[in-house]
Amino acid sequence: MKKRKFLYLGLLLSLCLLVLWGCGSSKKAADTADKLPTSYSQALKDAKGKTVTYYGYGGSDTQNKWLDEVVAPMMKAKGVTLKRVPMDIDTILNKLTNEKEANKTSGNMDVLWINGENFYNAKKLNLLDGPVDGKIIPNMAKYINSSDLDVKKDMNVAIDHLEVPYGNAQFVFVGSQSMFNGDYPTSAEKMLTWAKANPGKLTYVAPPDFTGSAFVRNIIYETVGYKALNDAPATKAGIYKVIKPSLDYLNELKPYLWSEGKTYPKTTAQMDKMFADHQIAMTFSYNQMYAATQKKAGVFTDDAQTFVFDKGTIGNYNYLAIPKTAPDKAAAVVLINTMLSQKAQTERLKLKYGAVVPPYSAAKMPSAMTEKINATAETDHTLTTQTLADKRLPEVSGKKIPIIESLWKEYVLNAD
Amino acid sequence: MLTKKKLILLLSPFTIFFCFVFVSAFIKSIVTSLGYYPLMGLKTLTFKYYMTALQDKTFLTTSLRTFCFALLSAGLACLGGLALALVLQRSTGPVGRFGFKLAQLPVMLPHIFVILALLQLLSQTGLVPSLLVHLGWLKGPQHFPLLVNDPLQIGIILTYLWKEIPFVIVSLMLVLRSLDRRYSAVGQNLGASKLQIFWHISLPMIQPALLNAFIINFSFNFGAYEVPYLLGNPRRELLPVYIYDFYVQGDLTQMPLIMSLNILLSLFAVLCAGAVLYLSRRLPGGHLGGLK
Repeated sequence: MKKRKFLYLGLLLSLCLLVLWGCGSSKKAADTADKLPTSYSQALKDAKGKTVTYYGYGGSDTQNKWLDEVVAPMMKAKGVTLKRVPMDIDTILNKLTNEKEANKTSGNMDVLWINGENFYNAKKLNLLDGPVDGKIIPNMAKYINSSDLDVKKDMNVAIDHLEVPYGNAQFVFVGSQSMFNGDYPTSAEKMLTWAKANPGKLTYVAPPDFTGSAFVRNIIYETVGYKALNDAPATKAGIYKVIKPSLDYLNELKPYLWSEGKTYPKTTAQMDKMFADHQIAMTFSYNQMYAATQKKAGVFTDDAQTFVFDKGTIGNYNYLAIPKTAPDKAAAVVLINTMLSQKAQTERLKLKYGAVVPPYSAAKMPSAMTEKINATAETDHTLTTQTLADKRLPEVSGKKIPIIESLWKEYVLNAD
Repeated sequence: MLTKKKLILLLSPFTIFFCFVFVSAFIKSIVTSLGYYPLMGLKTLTFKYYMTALQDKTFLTTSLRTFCFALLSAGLACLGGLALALVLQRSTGPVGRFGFKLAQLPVMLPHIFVILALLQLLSQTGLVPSLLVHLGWLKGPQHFPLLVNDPLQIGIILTYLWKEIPFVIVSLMLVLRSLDRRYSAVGQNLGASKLQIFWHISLPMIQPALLNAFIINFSFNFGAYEVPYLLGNPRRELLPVYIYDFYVQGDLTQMPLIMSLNILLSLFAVLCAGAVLYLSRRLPGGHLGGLK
């Protein structure tokens, strides 16, 4: 009998909780959505004393340190408290879509780190607020040309003033000077020739790993060209027809890879370790300064040299966006402008903050920053801003990426 | 003294919270898998996603592979655990007690710890191959056998065995200790051999606990993501990795299909558990119901 009493008590308790929860959400729904400020000075005024919440991938220590040690104090000086919530983008989007399904007008995320396919989804579901452009973000007008390709399109999706770039990424190779004898494979063809002469000394991370997938796309750009892939319809049959030569190339390379291509490293960390031990001659990264940061971390030595393909490598930007349900859009605007400021971006170039290249247009980049990047190229074997800009190729639509990955799996990984 | 009432009261906040979150997520998955996903304008209930899933050849081969793999690794863990538990049971005194304590340690360490240890020690760039190369026993790290991301999935099996053998030992030891030894004594007195005592007396009494442990191990091996993700061979993908990769590709129109794959995975694990439980009840000793 007594057991049953407890059961009732438990049920009652949960019912109370449910009712409370229901009240809480209905109250919030009654609030009207916060509006974007009309100017930056207005935003600064409204943001004072507020807390701004940043949601983004939290797996990068250097990025977290940059936000905590550089951006947070800069925000504090403007009277705004920065709260950083580490969360993966698919969880963030899930949360936002749930909010939308529940018809909530005010959530708890002010600024998101987003790009590519996730942006495409967020835009399609009408989750993001705009226009967020140079009119309310003065640093965007100051440092970024509105005609830059990466400001107009994110992985071939029109941005329409819903995103602001805040970091620049480009695929680079890091090769071992001693193993390559200073002669790096700067084209797919050279890579194949070298692999045939030195079997077992190359490998790549298996897609769908983010960077491994970019390597495969770079090989496609090399073998059939960016344009052919970009023009191909986003269907499995359409893409297969176009990238057939690339898949053939990867299959020709396969027996000369580490472990004869029977297995691949699963994470870039594994590949880096193999590279550091000289088990393989080459690794790669989406961070242009990777050779420098890894040298500083003591993983790579001066033997690690950055190079790119002569025809160029894929580059993309990291973006920030403000969700429609942001509780404090004035503070969100202040945060975005601060993250884009010369001071914050200069700090971010330091190795301890991950050495991320700013998303500034080449013509508008402050000379001090250009010099700094070029100096690193000299001492830590990365590349100059000029080389990087000259050898930069755009991303294709995010829709095509999973298709390419599944084709790779079917025709290369499981070919025999 | 912790009475039953107190125990229920203490556990209720967690249980209520857990049930609420778990049940609502589960219901949402079912509803989505049936094609109700208003976010993408899908509002008609249909079984077509399940039909698509069950006709997908990759999904079916991956499922079969995962099933065999989970069965094999859970079975090995149960056999190893049973053997070790019997040995430990026999050695009463400090050695046995120490062994029991030692067996509890891996149960507490999370899988990710074991994964990292394996990667650091046994991958070709790990400590063990480097040591062997330094000692001159190996010509180069590439001659060390591939134990992680290898085609035979040895890395994953090692991780599971490391975690699950001790788990089986701990759960069996608790039963073995409470067994009435007079049964075996009677058997011996009547002239039964050691094997007969084990087969007709001990095994039926510990069988429910053993099969319970098997169910837990099997369900985990069938549905675990992080171990096959980090240690698995990309060519022989296991089901959870297959589904999760599908999920993070972020194509929202595929969500109902992904959820139906998920439900099928859960359903399958539950069915297997049910079958094993049924078997356990039917076998000699089953009426003891796990020996309370």
